[in-house]
Amino acid sequence: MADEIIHDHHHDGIDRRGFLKCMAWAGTGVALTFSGGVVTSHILGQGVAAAPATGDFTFVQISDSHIGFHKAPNTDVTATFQQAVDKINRLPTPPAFTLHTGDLSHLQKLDEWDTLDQLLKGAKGGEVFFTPGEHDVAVDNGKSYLTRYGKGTTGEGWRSFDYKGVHFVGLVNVLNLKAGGLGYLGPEQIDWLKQDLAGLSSSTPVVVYAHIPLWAVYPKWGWGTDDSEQALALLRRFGSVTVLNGHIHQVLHKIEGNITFHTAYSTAFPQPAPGTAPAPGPLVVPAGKLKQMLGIHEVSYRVSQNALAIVDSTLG
Amino acid sequence: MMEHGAPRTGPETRASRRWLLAGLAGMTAFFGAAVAERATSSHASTAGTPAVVATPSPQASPAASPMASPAVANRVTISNFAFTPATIEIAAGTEVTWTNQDDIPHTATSNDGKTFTSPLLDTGDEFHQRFTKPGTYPYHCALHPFMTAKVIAR
Ligand SMILES: [Cu+2]
Repeated sequence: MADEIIHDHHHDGIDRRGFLKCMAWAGTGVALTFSGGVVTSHILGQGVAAAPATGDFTFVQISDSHIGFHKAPNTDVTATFQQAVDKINRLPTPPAFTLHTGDLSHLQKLDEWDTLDQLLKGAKGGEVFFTPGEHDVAVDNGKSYLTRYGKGTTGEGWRSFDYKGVHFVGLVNVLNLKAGGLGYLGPEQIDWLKQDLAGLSSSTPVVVYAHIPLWAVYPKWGWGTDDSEQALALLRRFGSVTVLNGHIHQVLHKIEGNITFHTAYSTAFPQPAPGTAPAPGPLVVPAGKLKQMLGIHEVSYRVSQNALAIVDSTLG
Repeated sequence: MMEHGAPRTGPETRASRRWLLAGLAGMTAFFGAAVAERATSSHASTAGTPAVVATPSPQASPAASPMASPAVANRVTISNFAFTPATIEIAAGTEVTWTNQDDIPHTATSNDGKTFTSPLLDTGDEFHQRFTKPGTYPYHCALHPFMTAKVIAR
């Protein structure tokens, strides 16, 4: 597993083999660094760290905490969430903020959200920006979620902010879902995104986060977003776009031009690799293996290289 | 858009939880208030006092009740992210029962968003809906909308 993959997405010799390897299901930690057009991938522990410079920062993505889930392979999702919090608290560079990419709760119960909020109080991960998963909104199309977690957002929970020269956009693709469809952004949100991006120079690094993947991972299991192409079309002019998603409880990467897609581990339970099971239910793994399939996503931005380094780090 | 409308008497909806496991017993049931706003008639959904009815489990007692047989034409199983059967034909006036056998919650939600909506069904939860008026009632899961099916009441 000690392979290093260089991706060059500026047309001078794209490494197709590396691309495919990178798309393969990654059971262990993988770090991606991208600088200019070149993406380097390391297996964790091979040292992507460099001395931090002024303007550098780190943030954390956590996802799919599913507080309230209590079945195989994880009967104690609060314990594994606590381990994720411990991991955040031990990071060498304290995160500037944390993104939670949805499915905070399992059954959209207030006490599940209470538990999550309580656990997050112990995290030294800065402010937490949430975007919902379908488990947070299905009961009332997001009403109670937005009341609780929607502060500072516009529309139905959309948010953008700038941090040290990087533009962050939180999208919501789990509301107003249509029978027979996948994730859905909707025309109002796409219009808002268009206006949000309009004033930005194409050299601004952009990070987009949402629950359901914004690329067709496996539509048969609902792992895609019907109208994501309309959003991606607005992002293609930027030199560096990083898309962070959850929902599929496993780490996948894909590179498409200047857009790099990443999905994050869950802190609760893993799901099968696309098409390897009859359905995308929880993947039941032996107790000793569970912590190797749960984790957090640590993202470091290095201003000197205009680069984001992403480390998927497991709980065990 | 569907023109069948809701049955004139209003759909009769009730949800029940099968108390198979002690571990489930501490859980509070459902999301009364939100559901009550959407279902036109539901005695499952009074806020704070969900109607929790113990019903026989097909798995626990396969021979105990004719209701347990999968051949009985008023039961829909939710398993592996699919409704089975995908099309169920019933006589008007029949109550259909959905049972979620997955470890992930699902719903049975009419495509028009108002004729009927189950609460979030956790593992083992059941949802009951009577179809008093003939018509075709397409529905899906609100969490996983690629899961689609229909009820045909004749
Ligand atoms: Cu579902």
